[in-house]
Amino acid sequence: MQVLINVLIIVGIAALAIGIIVNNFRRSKKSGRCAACSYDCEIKRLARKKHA
Amino acid sequence: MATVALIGNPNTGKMTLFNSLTNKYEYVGNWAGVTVEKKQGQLKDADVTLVDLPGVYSLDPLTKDESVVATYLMQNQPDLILNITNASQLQRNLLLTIEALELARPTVLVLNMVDDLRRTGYDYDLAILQQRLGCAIIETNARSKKGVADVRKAAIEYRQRPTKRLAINYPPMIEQAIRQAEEALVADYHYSATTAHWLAIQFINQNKAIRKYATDKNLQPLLSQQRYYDQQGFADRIFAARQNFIEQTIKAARKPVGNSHDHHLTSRVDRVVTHPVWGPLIFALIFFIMFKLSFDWVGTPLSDMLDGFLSGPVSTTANHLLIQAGALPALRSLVVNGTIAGVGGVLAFIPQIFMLFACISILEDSGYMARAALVTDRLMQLIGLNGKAFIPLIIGFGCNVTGIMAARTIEQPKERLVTTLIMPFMSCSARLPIYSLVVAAFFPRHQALIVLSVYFLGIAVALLVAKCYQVAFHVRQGSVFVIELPEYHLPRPDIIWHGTWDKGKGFIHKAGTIIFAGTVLIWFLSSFGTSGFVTDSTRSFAADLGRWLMPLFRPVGFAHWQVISALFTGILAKEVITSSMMVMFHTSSKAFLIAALGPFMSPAGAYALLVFILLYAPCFATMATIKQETGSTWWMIYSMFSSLGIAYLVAFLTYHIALLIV
Repeated sequence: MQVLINVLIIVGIAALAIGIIVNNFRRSKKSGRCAACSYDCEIKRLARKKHA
Repeated sequence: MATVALIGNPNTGKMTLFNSLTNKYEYVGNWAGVTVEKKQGQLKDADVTLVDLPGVYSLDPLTKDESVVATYLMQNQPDLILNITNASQLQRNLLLTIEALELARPTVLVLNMVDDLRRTGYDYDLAILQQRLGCAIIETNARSKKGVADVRKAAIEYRQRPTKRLAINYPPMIEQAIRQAEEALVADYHYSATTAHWLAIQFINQNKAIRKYATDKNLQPLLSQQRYYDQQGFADRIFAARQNFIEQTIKAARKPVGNSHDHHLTSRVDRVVTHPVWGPLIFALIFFIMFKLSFDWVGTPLSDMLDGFLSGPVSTTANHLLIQAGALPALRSLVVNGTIAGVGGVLAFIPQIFMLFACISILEDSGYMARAALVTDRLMQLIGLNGKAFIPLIIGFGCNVTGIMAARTIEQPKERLVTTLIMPFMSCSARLPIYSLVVAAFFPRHQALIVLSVYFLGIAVALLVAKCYQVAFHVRQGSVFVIELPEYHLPRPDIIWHGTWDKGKGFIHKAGTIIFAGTVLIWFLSSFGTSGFVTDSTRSFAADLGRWLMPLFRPVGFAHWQVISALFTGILAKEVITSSMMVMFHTSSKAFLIAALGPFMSPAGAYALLVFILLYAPCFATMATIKQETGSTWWMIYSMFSSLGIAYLVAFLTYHIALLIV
């Protein structure tokens, strides 16, 4: 049982990490969004607006 | 709800005033071009919307962003216009004021930075200014919040402001042309007399936004006379009449207020810091001190303390708790040697990064950054580059993605493409942790100097590559780089704090997202191999990958599987290189990793590694932005492979030259 819980936690952490990476790839494809700088600066807002 | 529009020349303190009047905090920089597009905020405790428009010198737009002001004033009817001026530069600022007053909307002229004006040894007689301009005038010093309450009161009492149109004595021929166009626009197109009058003047004055508007609306009274207006040189004569009015107004209203010892301080300092020879040397010296503060004097001791806390009590406590909870060695390794070591290993560099951002904020708020732009622009022009590329490249030092987006201000597509392609060579802040780690391990006595040299090498490579692209793409210089040199200010602590936090908070956020994810990924790669879970990482997938590529990296001086595998994770985000090293060396202590790295390579190899990290493939967010901005997958792929090629070549040369020297 304890082994199963350990494995589940490891799988959960791995799934979370993969989810974050996939989500960041998706965000990168949208204009004005990126993983590298999450600060929603004026330049990004302007870029989003121009693409909208 | 009433609307109050803030207009003014660049760098007149509009943003500072906007922030003081509303509850909104916007980025403040003591250099031109901070307000990219119009911003809105609500006046504190009042039913009034404030619209902050980009800084412009006149309503005739030079760039697309500048057309926002003319378009806004044409299509909206603000209840009040707050025209913010730099009191010490009033003569130049009044040109825009005249255009606003001719619109005949209720207007208040704000003489901001009055302290700077008085330091020049002069003041203005407000009664004379009010009488000649026909609008209310308020003196402020937005930085010290002096007069802000009066501006707030003026915004609330907008209804009490008279709507008087400023009448300039234009030559009779122009007056007649304006009158005829105005009457026709009122009669045939049902414009109000004031709007028609303003449209006519702006059209005759060759305002590009208004001419486009007239073409779109097919305003025949104006379009049919366009050639005549231009042939007669009406625009030049309008400018001359306005200049004459301004000179007379200034002459009548300006009064001396005794001697001032420092009224030419700014120009005296500028003579030195923008000097063709001393300017670049001072620029290099300031940046050297900045890196000294970040990597030697202040940042590193704080970073070592944080590292001691994270790798000591935090790691040990987490390990004990996991043992007590019955966690298997694999889970303990994932949490302690993986996430805590990896994420903590990057977080330990926060003091250095925040110190660097604080220094940059001080330089911005003091007014020096505009001088740095001027000094660097000269260098760029020597190489034949457009000075307009400088601001995006400087922004690229923070984050390449934002830098590429800022390149939109460059009008010519080829110039924009060149700027986009050289952007990844600008050393973004994400690369700082790995620089810090390598210099601490191999160059403990010259940390700041080595990091500074890497930054300058990035600029040199970017300029050289840009020159090659310029020749290849046949780029001709087209745009003009204009930058205002503001008065020097004593930096304000709250602006420095906000600037530092705005620049640095993304780094902390990333620690909990992409750095964490990258760390977990590298933990799996270094903890599992063909035989399953391994405690000896030399039998892991990461080791296999690194060893496979080792022959390729041997000529550049860092043939070690940990380093090579870590470079791959840098594609996710450059900070992950550091956390990957932590994970692959099985340590959560920065000090331990620095000691462990020492025997792995020579200082020449370490410097080549820094060069490679500086120049090699951009992170995936930057690549996605390159694709988006160029509209081409090929440019993205080209950027990635050309960066790799250039990085390899420069690292190879650096390594072998260093071997000859050392």
